Amino acid sequence: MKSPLVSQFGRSAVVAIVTFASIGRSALAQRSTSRADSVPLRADYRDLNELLQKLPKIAAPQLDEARALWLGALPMSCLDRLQPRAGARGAGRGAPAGAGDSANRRAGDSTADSATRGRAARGPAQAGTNTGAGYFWVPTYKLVADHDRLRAFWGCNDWHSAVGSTWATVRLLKNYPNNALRDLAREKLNAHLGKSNLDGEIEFFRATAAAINPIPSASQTGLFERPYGFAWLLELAQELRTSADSQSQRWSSNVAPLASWMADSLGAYLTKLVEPVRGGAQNNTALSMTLALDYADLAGDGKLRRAIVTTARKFYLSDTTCATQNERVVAGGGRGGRGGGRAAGRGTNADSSSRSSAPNDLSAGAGRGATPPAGGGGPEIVSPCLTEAALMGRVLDSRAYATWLSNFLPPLESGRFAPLTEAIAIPTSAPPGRGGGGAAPDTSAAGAAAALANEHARIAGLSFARAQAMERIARALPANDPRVAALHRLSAIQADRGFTLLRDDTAGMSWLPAQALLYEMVRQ
Amino acid sequence: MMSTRFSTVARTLSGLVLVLATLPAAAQTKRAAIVDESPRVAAFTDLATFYASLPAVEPHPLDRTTALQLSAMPLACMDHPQPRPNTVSYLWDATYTPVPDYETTRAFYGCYDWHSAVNSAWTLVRILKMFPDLPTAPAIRQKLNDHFGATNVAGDLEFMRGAGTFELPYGYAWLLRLQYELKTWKDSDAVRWAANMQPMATYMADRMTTYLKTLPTAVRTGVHPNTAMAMDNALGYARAFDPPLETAIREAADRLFKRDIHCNTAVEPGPSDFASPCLMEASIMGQLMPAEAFVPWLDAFLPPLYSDDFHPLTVGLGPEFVKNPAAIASKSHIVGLAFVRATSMGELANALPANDPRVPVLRRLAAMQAATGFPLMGAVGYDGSHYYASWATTYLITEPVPPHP
Repeated sequence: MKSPLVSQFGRSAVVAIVTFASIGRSALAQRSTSRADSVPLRADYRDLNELLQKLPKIAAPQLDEARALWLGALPMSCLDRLQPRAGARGAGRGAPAGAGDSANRRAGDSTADSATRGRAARGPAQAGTNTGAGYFWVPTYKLVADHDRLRAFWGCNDWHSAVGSTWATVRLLKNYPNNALRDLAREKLNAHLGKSNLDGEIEFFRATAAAINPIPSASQTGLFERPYGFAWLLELAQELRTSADSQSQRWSSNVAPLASWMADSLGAYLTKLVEPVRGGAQNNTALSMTLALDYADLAGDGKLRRAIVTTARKFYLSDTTCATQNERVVAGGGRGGRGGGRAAGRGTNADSSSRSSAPNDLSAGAGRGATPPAGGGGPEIVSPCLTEAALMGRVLDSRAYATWLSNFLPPLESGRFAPLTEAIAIPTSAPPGRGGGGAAPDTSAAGAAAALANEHARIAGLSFARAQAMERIARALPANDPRVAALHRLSAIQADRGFTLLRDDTAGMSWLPAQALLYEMVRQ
Repeated sequence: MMSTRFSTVARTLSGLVLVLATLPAAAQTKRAAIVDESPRVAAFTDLATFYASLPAVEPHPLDRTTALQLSAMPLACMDHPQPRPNTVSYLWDATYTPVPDYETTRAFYGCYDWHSAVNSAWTLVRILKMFPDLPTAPAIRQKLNDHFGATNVAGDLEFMRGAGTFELPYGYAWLLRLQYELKTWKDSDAVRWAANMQPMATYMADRMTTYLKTLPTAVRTGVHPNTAMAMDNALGYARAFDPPLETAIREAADRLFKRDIHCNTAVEPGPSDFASPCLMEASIMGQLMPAEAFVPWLDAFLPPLYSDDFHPLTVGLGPEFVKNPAAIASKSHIVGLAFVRATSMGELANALPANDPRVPVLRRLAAMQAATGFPLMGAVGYDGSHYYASWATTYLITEPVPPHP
């Protein structure tokens, strides 16, 4: 994973951003360290002007070449690191899901688990584990034959992170064609985006789709990587389509059949979807729809665009009063923390601040709680309210959008919106074990350190996602809308926190650089 | 399995569906394509007229023939191993072998999945309690003996302790329903089986209690995680043997369901539903609330049985569905839905005061639902036969008619 070349560039990149990071640090030191949930929402500000006066004067981070090299070096360091086998304890470094034991277990070590060893080694299951794996059928694993020839996205912990990291590498090459890492980037992309690699991918996905049991079962989780991974693949495809050089064009034509297959599959999935996932985990429906729209627009895929727009209008057009006050991130877990428990319920978007004995009317737009409450899709890495708002900015024209947004988001200066105006506090201790699953948390020192690192990575990802969504919202509003300037500033505050955390990151390097670059992409 | 008697009923019902199909309403678009979509021709304005319009479908008898049929299906699946995981490997090729000594270290490894093995065992126990001299009785006892051994159940408990939320709440609740039947059976075998099962029942009751206490919102899907369904299955055991769980069920019902009004019947059934969320919730509230409080709650919660709004909870297997084997094979849940709806309707009838005019209507609607299900119990193959008998039995025991051994 650490070729000398990469480490060297990584080090120089780190030096280059120290200046910037120290600014973030001092800002942090002045912040109150009290727990977020013990602080009541602040009072409303008078207006947007007062909000802008009170906000810290943080400029949007610039993507200079040093930072670009940094963001490019990290994805390339994980592209060739084998994804861990299914069910391995600890999904390895950098798993956003924060597996309990990420203590440097190389995936390759686990090729020869015998049945009995597998049973003996099986520790407490992670929260959200509900497949019952190993109850009757006990697996033994070996690497698929010719994985480096017949698979494209087999590194970086999981499929969608591998796609995101590939996208980040393409992005670096495209925006800085003469950067110092250009040859390394081409070497990696050539090795992963060859024709046989992508042909193997599409064959795998076709077979996977064919193997899905048509009978829904308690443990069935749907088509592998749909929708989130599919959306990332489409983002990669659109990036390649618009790259001019001949090598990129070859990669693009290799990826195109898979992209087209996934676009069709995703469109069909969205059309049939009964209700959206509104939580903050990566399975959030609006999140994937926004990424897929980037592709649909550039590739001229009118069918996918129609599917997304129709679905978005059906799900979100009548939403009002999103509960931004619930998006405060509490240090050490809790609301907005791990587990996505909030994703479970009906009416996530309704104003849930009033807990009264008023009748609970199920007739109007009530969801059915599609996501089981425990372990609903992993940790929160996006803002549910901002993600939905970002998507609708691509669905409605700017005037209609301005009106919809006024009904949907609380005023930016209001106390209820305050949680999204603050940089997320950086926790200093590991969050408690995820509730709901009943699994015993790993309480060892190494386990706690790994859990803290995972939490920092999660917060960095959430910060970048907020920043990206705020930029998308600002760009969708009419240019003279008074909210635009405030959103740019708010976005910069979030992005700044993301970069501060990314500097010391040890757990999120397989997916955070792509999140940072996505934010940069939206700003361009 | 497909007696001519049932086919006749099914044909009658097919005709009825067309007659009933009135509704100029728009909200039908959300329904699965397999349910009847034809417009209704006459709306009803009162219960009596609606009741008079229903075909005189008698409840399915719970006689020895039925009992034999219902016991044969779980008998046939208890030892049929759960399917080998059918996934295509992305990076790590998996080779699967059965867990060593599964016959002595696992209890519920048949019948497609864990919860179906549990509810199949429940079905065998329940049938044997009602019909102790059934000709299949020795086979049933042998099967239960094989699966309910002390080491089998201990192995399951050890697995479950490390399996996170696997089978919580659906399978857990079924296990409690099973243990309730075992503990209330004066039978020397059952006493031994219940003793073997008790540690797992205690563990699952405790986990259920915590689960219900911490559940932020009710799950209202028509599939396994449905909260009301779990409460319903666990209630008998909780009332008889586990006061903290009973309290947790009551508190969860108060917190999650009591304020509910206007259940959204227009979105039922969802494309994969095997249960009606609205009927499930009504049923559990009927079992928990005193009648004088339940009746006004129900009036605010469910639309009148004769109304267009209730119609989605009664339509189901249209004639074109029955004619299309491909649709059946890929939609085993829609047959299960008939039995599960019938169960909810029967339970709801039992919860209402005896003189409530809705009682006979609900029983008739339940019988009509079940009558669409019985002829199809074998029609979808193993996808259905591994669990239909359980829900058919839960429906049949809601009928007030005593069994005729």
